[in-house]
Amino acid sequence: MNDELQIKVQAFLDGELPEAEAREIGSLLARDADAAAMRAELKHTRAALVGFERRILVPETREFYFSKIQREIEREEASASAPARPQHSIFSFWRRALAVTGGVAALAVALLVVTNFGPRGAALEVALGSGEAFTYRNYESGATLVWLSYPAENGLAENQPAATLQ
Amino acid sequence: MKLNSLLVTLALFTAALGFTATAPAADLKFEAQLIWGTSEGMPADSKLKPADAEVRKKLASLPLKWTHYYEVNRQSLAVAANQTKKSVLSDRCTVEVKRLGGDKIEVLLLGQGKEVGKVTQQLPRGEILVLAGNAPAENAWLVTLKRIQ
Amino acid sequence: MPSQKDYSSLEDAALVKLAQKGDTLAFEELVFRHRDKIYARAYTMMHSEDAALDLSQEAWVKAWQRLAQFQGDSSFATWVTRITINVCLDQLRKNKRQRAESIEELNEESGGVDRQMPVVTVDPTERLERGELRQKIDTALGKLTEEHRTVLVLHEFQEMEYKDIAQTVGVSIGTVMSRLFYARRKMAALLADVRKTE
Repeated sequence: MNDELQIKVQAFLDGELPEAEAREIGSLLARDADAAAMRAELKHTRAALVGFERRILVPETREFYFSKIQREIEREEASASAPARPQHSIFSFWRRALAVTGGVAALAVALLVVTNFGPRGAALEVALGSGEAFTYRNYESGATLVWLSYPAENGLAENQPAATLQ
Repeated sequence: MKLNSLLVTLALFTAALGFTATAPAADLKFEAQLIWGTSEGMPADSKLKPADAEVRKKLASLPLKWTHYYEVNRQSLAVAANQTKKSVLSDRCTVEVKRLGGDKIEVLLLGQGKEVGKVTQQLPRGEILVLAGNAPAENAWLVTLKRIQ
Repeated sequence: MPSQKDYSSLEDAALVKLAQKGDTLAFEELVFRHRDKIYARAYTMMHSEDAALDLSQEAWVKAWQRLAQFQGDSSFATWVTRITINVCLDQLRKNKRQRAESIEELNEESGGVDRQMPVVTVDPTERLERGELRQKIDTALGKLTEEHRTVLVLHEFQEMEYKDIAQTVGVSIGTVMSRLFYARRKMAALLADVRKTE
């Protein structure tokens, strides 16, 4: 069976052949064992894939995932009139920070993240018991945020703080 | 007479130098708060009060989405040079502040007695450090540390 | 303005209408609902969690910017998925431009698949647990060339027809058919290897 015929067998399987050609390939499949075997292999592969896409979840909290989207939207809107665009996506920065912290956390050893906020700010070091962290600094307000992926269900605070925290 | 004056001045100057050299460095004073972040109002019967305006303003400058911040607990800490002070903000949340020299401090956050994270940073007067994370039902807990002196 | 709780009870179409008027909370709810699917599709295309995270977020930014263009001809999820695929394809094209010429590119259509490779006569996925199969498929997809993986993902997961794939990827229908054929053959061989090594 030549390449062209093999690909037609596939198109037959996918319902992509014109009616006349489909009839031809249908009769070929009935009499040619090689063509039938090829069709069976393609069919098995197709069946194996459908519905078996990897189930993978966003490895960030809702708030952080969306905050990055929101900040990028705001940044793009603010710079809409400016001709030059930054070369690196804001997401890359966050992802790198996550990768560093996440990677070290996976080693289950004490980890240390150093974020240098630039000439005006001293380096910030974050060591985590486990999990991941993001850091953010607003120079103008003099505020530094370290967001920790401490599981919500472990509850440093609870849903009813008045009852449980005081 | 002149010699006496000189000796007295010298003695005073030496005493002043000695006092300066041996006097303990002033404590750094901090205010630690445990804050509850939510986008929903608190129940009417809650005893929590909104976090103070200055802290809310600082939080608003950070990429946090919550619209309300309530103060759960507030503690003051005076930390001497090279010393560590602990502040229990709730049954589950404790923060330890260690002075490392100058404005530099090490902040250890403990959740249910276990280390959650340790942050080392310079914290000049007026600045705020916020350690935060998710709480159930899309709320957040925040531990703020403000250098007040 | 509805409270945050109200957003979660609204259907996609209602959220889209609010978002089209500039309501970011409505858009956030849409992102929350569909983020895992979008991220998973970006991952399947790129086979890199880091790239998937960046590109899925980039796709959401583009979705926001193009919300006015969404007319409801398809579901919102399908519409965002198409944006995601285009963002991934753009990135793959950039990657390709940056790559040095290689033997793989010289043999782009077959992607190194032996034309005389014996046909796999039994279903290679028989007796595999669903979770195990998902994992094996993911591993096998990672061994395909980007070109082969792209057409396979668009055809099998996105359920696109040949002509739509050709238009999206920017190649002829013949190229799509050829790439799809060799991608399936390689997958069959890789999954058969899984069975052999069990």
